[in-house]
Order: sequence, then structure tokens, then C-alpha cells
Amino acid sequence: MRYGVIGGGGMASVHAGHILRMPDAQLIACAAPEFSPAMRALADRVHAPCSADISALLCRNDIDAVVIATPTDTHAALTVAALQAGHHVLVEKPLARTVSEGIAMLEAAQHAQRKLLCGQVVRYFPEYATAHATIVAGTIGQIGVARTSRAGAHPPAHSWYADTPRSGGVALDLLIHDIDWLLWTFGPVERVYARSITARALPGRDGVLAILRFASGVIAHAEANWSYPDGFVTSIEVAGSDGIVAHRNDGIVDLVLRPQPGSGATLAADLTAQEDPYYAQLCAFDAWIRGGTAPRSSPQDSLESLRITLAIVESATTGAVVRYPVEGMK
Amino acid sequence: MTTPRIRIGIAGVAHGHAHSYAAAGKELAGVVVSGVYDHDVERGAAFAAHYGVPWYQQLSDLLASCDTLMIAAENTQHHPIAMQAAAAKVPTLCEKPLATTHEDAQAMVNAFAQGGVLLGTAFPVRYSPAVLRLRDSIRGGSLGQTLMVRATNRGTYPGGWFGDPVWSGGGAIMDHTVHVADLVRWIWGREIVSVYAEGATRLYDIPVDDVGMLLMTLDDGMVVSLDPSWSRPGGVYPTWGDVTMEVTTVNGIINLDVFGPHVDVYQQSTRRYQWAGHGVNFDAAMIADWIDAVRNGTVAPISGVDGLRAVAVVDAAYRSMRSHRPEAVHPLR
Repeated sequence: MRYGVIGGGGMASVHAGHILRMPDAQLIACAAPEFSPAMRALADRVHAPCSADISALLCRNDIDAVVIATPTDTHAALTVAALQAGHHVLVEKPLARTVSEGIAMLEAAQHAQRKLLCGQVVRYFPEYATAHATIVAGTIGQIGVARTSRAGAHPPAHSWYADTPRSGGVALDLLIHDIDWLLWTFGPVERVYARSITARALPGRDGVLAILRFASGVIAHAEANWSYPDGFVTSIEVAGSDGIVAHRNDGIVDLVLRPQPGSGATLAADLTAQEDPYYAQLCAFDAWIRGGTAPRSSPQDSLESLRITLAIVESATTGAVVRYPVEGMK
Repeated sequence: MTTPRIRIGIAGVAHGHAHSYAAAGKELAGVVVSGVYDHDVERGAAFAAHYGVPWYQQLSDLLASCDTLMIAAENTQHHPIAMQAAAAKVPTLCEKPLATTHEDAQAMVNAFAQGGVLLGTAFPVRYSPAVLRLRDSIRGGSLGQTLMVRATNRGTYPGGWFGDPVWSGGGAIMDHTVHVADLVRWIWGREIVSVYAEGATRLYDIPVDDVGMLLMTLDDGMVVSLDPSWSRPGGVYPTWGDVTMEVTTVNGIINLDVFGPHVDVYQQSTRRYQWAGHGVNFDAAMIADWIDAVRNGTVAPISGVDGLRAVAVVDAAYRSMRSHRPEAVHPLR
């Protein structure tokens, strides 16, 4: 499979790195307005040209699939153009900046008969996949209430992430991960209510708290916080009629090193790269294009995650409950 | 089909790994389970019926109808079954511990070597990605010399025949010494030369040791302690047990927790809090590797000698438990 990558930042280099280590995959070319040193180094390793001309990359007929890891407000136009040029597309999450953009992307994929996958990667995190499977298997009975949290430092003020009109802010960048997992696990949402600290416009602080009511009756609380001084903490807890499923990302690792200062001690490379969620997601995309089974999220799933997350933003902005019509609901 | 089909025979289903072997027979390409033998008619027939495979009343009939034998019988039955398999020239993967005495283990190794037949020992923890990475890290050299290791391989008391010395040949020390002994030999490429062990029956009303503590010395002076106790409270502890190491090297401290990554599961009807693991299936990886060796006629990935060396450590531990002195591990003959 021959890949092109659009984007030159952190996520683009993550995807490019995994393309390089995937069997029977080639990185052909990269395009972005600018490239990080890491991204350039990866491309140079396989002599893939790095160009600012995105149109030229899309016109290449020696590329089968394109990974798009660019600012959120560019996802729709780039994805539609790539699909129309005949490429399969893996686009970073969120699917798009607006629902109408997302719908246009799904229509373009349908029309071009090409595969479209949005990188809602939490479905490929082993702990989240295990929690999902445990709950779906009925181990803790009928689900009552679920809580999710995702917290880290605010992006630098000058980055596009901090530019809410472009990125959608903490909700569309961070919260959508858990919204996607909740939808995957509990099905359609009936209504949402949310509050945020966005309107305070404090530098380096943002956060949103949301309550979701699912058509199944499940109640969920979802939190995303960009106010931490450092670190990155995620947690889930789901309580059912027969028990609780819970996970926190802090402190559970199977191999860790405390090096003596100045000793240069390091651990060997982690050869279980196939367990990296981003790698697993890319492999699923690759296998899907080759005729294998579909990945864990469909474009419709990702559109729904976008729709519900934007409903949360709307609720946080207006202070009103956003009700979402669910087919078959009274 | 270019590769020949491999028929797995399962001799003894007393150990839980019999299920891993049967599952592998269902999931691995070009592999089938051709039959099951167990001296316990009821247990063997039930297992065979569950997996929809033939049950054999005679081990010799099973040996005549399989390409490789996997022994998951009670500990003391490993030796007689393996000796019969060696005579029938059937490549055999044996559950750990290879045998319950050093003499039996040595006899098994000799019999297979004389017949030119593969003998392997089931040490699935070698296939843990974290263990592999630890081994690569140690061999990479940046950590410097390893000084000491503090290890645990604790578990819940498995019950049943594990508590009956006629079948188990020993208690917690018999059950839980060999994994870490093998990992230490394999990761550091050194032999354990001396063992001091304390052992006792303190937790259950059983005629075998249920708690123990070992302190081992390697041939380069490195020291390794191991807690092999059945000390995790059954029915309460959230998982079967653990395999952990804290490794102190000249250049740093490494913590290994093979079964650490998990999701918490609290279940009301069973009044249980449990861990749902989400790591690699080591058993499947081990069996696939063994099948490759049988198919290609290469060396055993984890050999009978590896099993023998771990049994030698157990042997020294039980001698030390009685003598209250460090005991020398029998050298490799």
C-alpha cells in the first residue's frame, strides 16, 4: 500500500512513523505548509519528498491512500479532494469542524467508492477496548451510570489547537475521544447538557463538563480539562446493576526504568509496536482497503461523535439542554 | 496446502493449560487436536466431549495418532507419560515443572536426547512483551551490570490435586519457583548455583507448603529473591497472581509487572473485584512457536534442559527448606 501524508506536525509524524514500520506499506510523499524536524527526518529516511504543494500530492497516481493530520478546519476540504482524486483517506479526529462538513465528507466517500476512516483512536486503546468488551458482554449487568475524564496541559497559545474557531477547542480536541467511546459502548444519545470555563477566556485554562442521557437510559458524565500544569490523565468508571468497570492511565505499566543520573541507561525499544493504538488503527485501515473487515468505527460513527460533541459545545455556550432525535425513540 | 497438518495429542487435562492447547488446536492454521488421554476417565472424556475430539483410554493409542504430545497432567504424571512418548518418538511439550524430582527430569531429558526427539518445557512467561523488552534492555548494555533482583510469582491456592503431594510432588515452591528461575536464566544467561529457601504451611490445611521465600545466587554473584507463595486470597484477590521483578543494576532500577496492565471489574452478584487483563496471549504465542519447531524439525524454543535446570532449583530449594542452609544446585550433567 502506497501512502501520502498531508500535515507536518506532531500527529502527522506519528502516522508517518507507523507507515514506515508497517509491512507492505510505503511512504511516497508528504505535503504541508511546514514540517517539524521529526516529520522531515522520517520522510528523509525513505526519500519521500516533503512539499508545500498539497494539490500536487493529491494528483499523484502512485498513491493509494492518504493520511490527513492537519488542523481540524481543513479536514473536510482536504478529505473531499483526496477522495475525489481516488485515494482512500484516514483523517485525524475530529472528523470535521462542523456537522455539515462531515456529511459532505461521507457523501464524497460514498460517491468516490473509497474508504474513509476517522482516527477515533481510543477504540484501539487496549484498556478502553477491554472495558468496552467487558461491559458489552454483560459482566456488570445493566449499566446505570458512566464517568469519563481526560485532562492535560493547555496547548501553547500560538498553536492552532488554542484557536477555537479552527480546532473547536477542548471539546472537539479532547472530549470527543470519550464521547466516541461512550457512543460505541452505550449507543445513541437522547440529550446533553454541558458547562464549560471557555467563556472565562483565562490563558492556559479551559475545560468542559457534560452530562449525556442515552436512549438506553444510561447516564454519563464526561470531562475534558486543559488546565493541568503538566501530565496527561485519563479515567473511566462505569457502574452497572452487577458491578463496576474502571480504569485510570496512571501508574499501570509493565516495564519502567529509573536511570541513575548521568548513567545513560535506557530501556530497549518497545518491540510490541503492534500494540500501539495508532499503529493498530492504521493496520485496521490498511487491512480494510485490502478487502478485510471494517475498522472499529465507521464514518457514520465518527460523524455521530462529532454531532454529539458539538451539541455539548452548543449546550455549554447557550446553557440549554440539546435534545437529539433518536430514531425509534418516543 | 504445502505445510503438513500437525496433530496435537493432549495427555492429561488436570492442568488449566490443557485448555490453551485445545484452543490452539482450534485457532492455529494447519493444526488439529487429534485426541485426549487422561487416567481419570470422567475428566478426560468430559474434556474431549467439550472440544469435540476423540478420547483415548490408552496413552499408547493417543501416541500412535498424533504428531506432537502436550502434557498437562498432574505434576507427578509428567515423567511416566513423557518416558512413554520418548519411546514412541513423539515430540513432546511438557507443562512446568518438567518433573517433581531432579532424577525424573534428568531421565526425561536423557530419553528424548537418546531418541533424537524434541522435548520442550512450557514457560509461557518468556513470551511476555515486557519480559522480552527487559531481556533486550539488559543485553543492550546501557543498564550496566545487574546487582540484584527482587522477584515475586505469587498466586491464589489452586486447590484440588495441587494440595496432594501424591499428584503435585510439592506445594507453592514446586508450583511457582520454576517460572522465575527460568526467566532469570534466560534473561541474564547465567546459572543459579545456590538456593536458600524457607517454606511452610501457614494459610491452608494442606500437607504441602503454601508459603515460601527463596534467595538465590547466580554464578556471577548476582542475587535474586523470590516469593512463590500461594498467598493471594482466593475469591477476593482481583487476579490469579503475579510475576514481578525489581531489577537493580549499576545504572538504574527497572520494575517489571508482567500482568500489571488491567481494567478494574467489580461484580456484585459474585461479590468480586477482578482485573480484566488486556495483554498478549502468551500461551498462544508459546504454542505457535512450539508447533513451528515440530513442523520444521528445529530445536525446541524452550528445551527440556531449560525445564531440567528449573527443576534443579526447586530440588535445591526443598533440600534447603529441610536443612536450613543454602544448598548447591546440581550442576548440568
